[in-house]
Amino acid sequence: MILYLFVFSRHGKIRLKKWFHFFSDKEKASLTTDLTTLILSRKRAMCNVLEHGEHKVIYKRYASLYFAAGIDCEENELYVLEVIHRYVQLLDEFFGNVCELDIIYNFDKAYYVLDELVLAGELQEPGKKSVIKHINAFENACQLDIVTRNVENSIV
Amino acid sequence: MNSRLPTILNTTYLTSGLSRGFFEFVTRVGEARSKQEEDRYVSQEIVSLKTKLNHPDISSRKIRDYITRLIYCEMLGYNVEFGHIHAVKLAQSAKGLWDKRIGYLACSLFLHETHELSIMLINTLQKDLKSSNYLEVCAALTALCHLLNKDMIPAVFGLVEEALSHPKDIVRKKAVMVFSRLFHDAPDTMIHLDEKFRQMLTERDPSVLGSILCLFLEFIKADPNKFKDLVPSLISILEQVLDRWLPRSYDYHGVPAPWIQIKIIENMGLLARDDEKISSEVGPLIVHTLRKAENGVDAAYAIIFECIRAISRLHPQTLSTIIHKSPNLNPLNVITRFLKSNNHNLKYLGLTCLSEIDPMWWIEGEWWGEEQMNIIVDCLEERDDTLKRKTLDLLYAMVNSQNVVVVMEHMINALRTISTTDEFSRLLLVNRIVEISGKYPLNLQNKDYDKAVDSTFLIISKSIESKEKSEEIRQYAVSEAIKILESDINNTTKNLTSWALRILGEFVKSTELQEKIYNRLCDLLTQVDYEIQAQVITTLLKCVSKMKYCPDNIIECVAKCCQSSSGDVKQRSREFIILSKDFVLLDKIIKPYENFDDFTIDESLSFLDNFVENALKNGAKPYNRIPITREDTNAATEIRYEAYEKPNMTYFPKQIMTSLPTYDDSRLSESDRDVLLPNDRSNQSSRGVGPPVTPGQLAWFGVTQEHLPPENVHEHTSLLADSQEPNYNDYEEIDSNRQSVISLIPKMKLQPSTQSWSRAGYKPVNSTESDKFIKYNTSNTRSSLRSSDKVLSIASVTSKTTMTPEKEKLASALFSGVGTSDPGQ
Repeated sequence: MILYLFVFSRHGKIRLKKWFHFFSDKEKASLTTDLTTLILSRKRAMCNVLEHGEHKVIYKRYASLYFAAGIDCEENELYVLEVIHRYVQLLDEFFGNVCELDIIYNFDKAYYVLDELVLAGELQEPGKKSVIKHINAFENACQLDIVTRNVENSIV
Repeated sequence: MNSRLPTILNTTYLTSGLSRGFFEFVTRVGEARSKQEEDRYVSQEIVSLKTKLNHPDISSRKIRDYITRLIYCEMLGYNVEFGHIHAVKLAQSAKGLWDKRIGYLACSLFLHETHELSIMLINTLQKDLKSSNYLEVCAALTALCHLLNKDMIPAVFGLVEEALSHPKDIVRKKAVMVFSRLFHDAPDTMIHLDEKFRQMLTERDPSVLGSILCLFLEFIKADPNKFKDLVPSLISILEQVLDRWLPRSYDYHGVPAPWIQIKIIENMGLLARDDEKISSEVGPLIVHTLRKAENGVDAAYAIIFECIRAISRLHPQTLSTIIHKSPNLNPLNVITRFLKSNNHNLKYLGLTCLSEIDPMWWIEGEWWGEEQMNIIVDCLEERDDTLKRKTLDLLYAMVNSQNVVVVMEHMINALRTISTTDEFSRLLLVNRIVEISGKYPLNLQNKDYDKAVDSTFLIISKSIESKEKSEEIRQYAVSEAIKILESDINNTTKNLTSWALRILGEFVKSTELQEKIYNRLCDLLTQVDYEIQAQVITTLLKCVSKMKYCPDNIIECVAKCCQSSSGDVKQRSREFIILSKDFVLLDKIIKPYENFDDFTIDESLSFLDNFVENALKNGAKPYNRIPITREDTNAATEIRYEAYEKPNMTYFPKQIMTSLPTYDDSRLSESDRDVLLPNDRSNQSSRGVGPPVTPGQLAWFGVTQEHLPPENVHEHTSLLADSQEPNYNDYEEIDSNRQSVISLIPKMKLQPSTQSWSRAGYKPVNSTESDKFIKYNTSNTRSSLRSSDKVLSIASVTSKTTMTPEKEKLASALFSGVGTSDPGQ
């Protein structure tokens, strides 16, 4: 089970943060700072797996962003690496050539994509197409909703 | 970012869909040059948000915007607790889908399962779960996964159950995930749904299948026996996946649905544990999956990893058939590939796989060999922390009575180098060290035990410095020590007693020192032998220094020890008697353990210089050093230009004189000549007589007369006789020949002995173990080491570092005894 997922920049600024397991506020803060410093100090050729206390952290660097996921000891590490890659692929598909700026300004959409991919700490949707289809359906429904409401309000 | 253009024209702004204010806020924060600047902006924003949110009437568009800003601030790490209630309100009162979405997102990010406000969402969630719009149901289920807690369960359970049969597969999938989450909190509530879930295994939609498998994983982990009948269906699903029956969109870089494969294999591994029938059904399929996955992509490696994990869980019978079938088809060969690769991830994978597999299966020759040993020893010294730790884990997994010494050494070294803040790993290491030393007490000699004890001291003293839990640890350690000392002293080992005494001396507090401890220590003085007596006296001294008071009966007891026949005890007891009266001096001498590293010992005893000077002034005689060198020291310091006299023949009997060992080409094999002293090839004809070799020395090398090759005595003498005016070259030759003769002696025909000399040093062979061991070891040594340079050259192409002799030694020491049935385990 994936316990948490962070996305942060090369300078340590957090771009996305999602917790799938209960941690106290203090733990959350300490984990965030610890992991960002630890991961930023790793060299390029080093292993993508980091052991931190009882958990393992799988991280991968994509251009200027680091994606880090914390897992418990029983999970398959490479599997989680693939989940991270899948997430980045989805973001790419959704935003079209995603870059850090897209995630900074559209973080709510990035959260929606994440919610469709990983739920309760497990991968819920392995197929790329269905995730994108679903999110687009949601987006369209929202837009439609807004339009109909505006029309209603203008009529009334 | 074009900051020159006004915001309205900025393309990023236009496509983001954010409000202008928010966009500018984000830009400002992003461009902030220092943490303080960022702090300032964000706090300003938070203050303004507070006021804005407290307005009674805000349009939904504005509140969406404010909540999004709140999410952003929270993500940066600032406290936005005041906003939580607004998020809940938004979710409750949301009129449109968009508002609902943002509201649920905010709630799932802000709240957590034990938050008070999550209860307020129950109504909203129920309404949404009943809605006819499947998107609303999805949103509610997603939020539920994050917010579910015990109070909510009765309210939403029925609705989620209904969602399991929803026509839309997305809804079904999400409902299954909610249940997997629920299983953690309330497993009993789901028993009646068992049938329903099993039926869902036949689902046609792969994503629902994926989530059902996750759910079953949870079930099986909890209780494998109930689900053993699932094996046939799992097998058929896996076969279908491997045959590419799933739609193309589920392929990932050419691998068909890796996630589903992994989940199924994990399930099968758990079900097959300790069950032979299932293992035999499942084993071949796992191997088949492994074969199919060997196409070199990342996802494929994940599958391979899972397969190996599952293989390690199979019943030993099945496992042995799989491994022994034929060496080429052995699935464990992949581990070798992983270890040899340069990619750190794959090395990590290799190490993890190795530690999963029981060392019993590391059978030499089939898939396990010296290359792997070398690579693992390399990994011990990698700069990459993760690899180092993984190797330590591996060492722990393969510890047996033969290599326990080396393993312990490494663990203790690691303990010293790990930072003090990383408590978890230190704790783990200490636990392991203690466990190992408990399992193999006989193999650990005193030296290693001392090291282990020292490291425990280090931990205790460092943790006392860190103040957290220090009091607990200290008290616990002291009470354990007292318990040990009070028990019957003949039953406890010497090491344990000395450990207890040291703990008591260092860490006991003066308030805890009571009469009975003192009395017990005095009693001990009469019961134990010299070493422990010495330690008891020192412990008493430390206690006295803490108490600043020495009861008379102690002085009496110690005074008795002054008559002891052991010099150490005498010395210590006399020191005690004097120091126990002078507490000022005592304080200067007794230092606490933490400052031990600052101790420097002045070996020249310079602090006594004054004393010496005074004594000399008063007429004492200076110390007269007796020279240890030979009589003709003057001559020996200069280079000698004349030939030495002929050696006196009466040194040793003639038979040995005529048969001094010589360097004879034909006797030695090619590789030996290559290896040792390559410059000797030119000196084959010249011989030199080394320093007289006594019969004793020859015997030591195991050389006996019959084994010595014939030589040419005249050659020996001619060289020396001819050289009236020897020049340096001759001497060099002679010297090097001397060297060569002596060093080559072991290479001559040796009597067969269990001591095998090799380039890598002496290989310890445990002669007390069964014959199997000796056979294993001796057959291993010569052949593998002789060919080891060739192996090395292959290994060095793939591995970055070259093996030094020390590393080889380490490798051979570590892996001795692995792979055979160790009676000690």
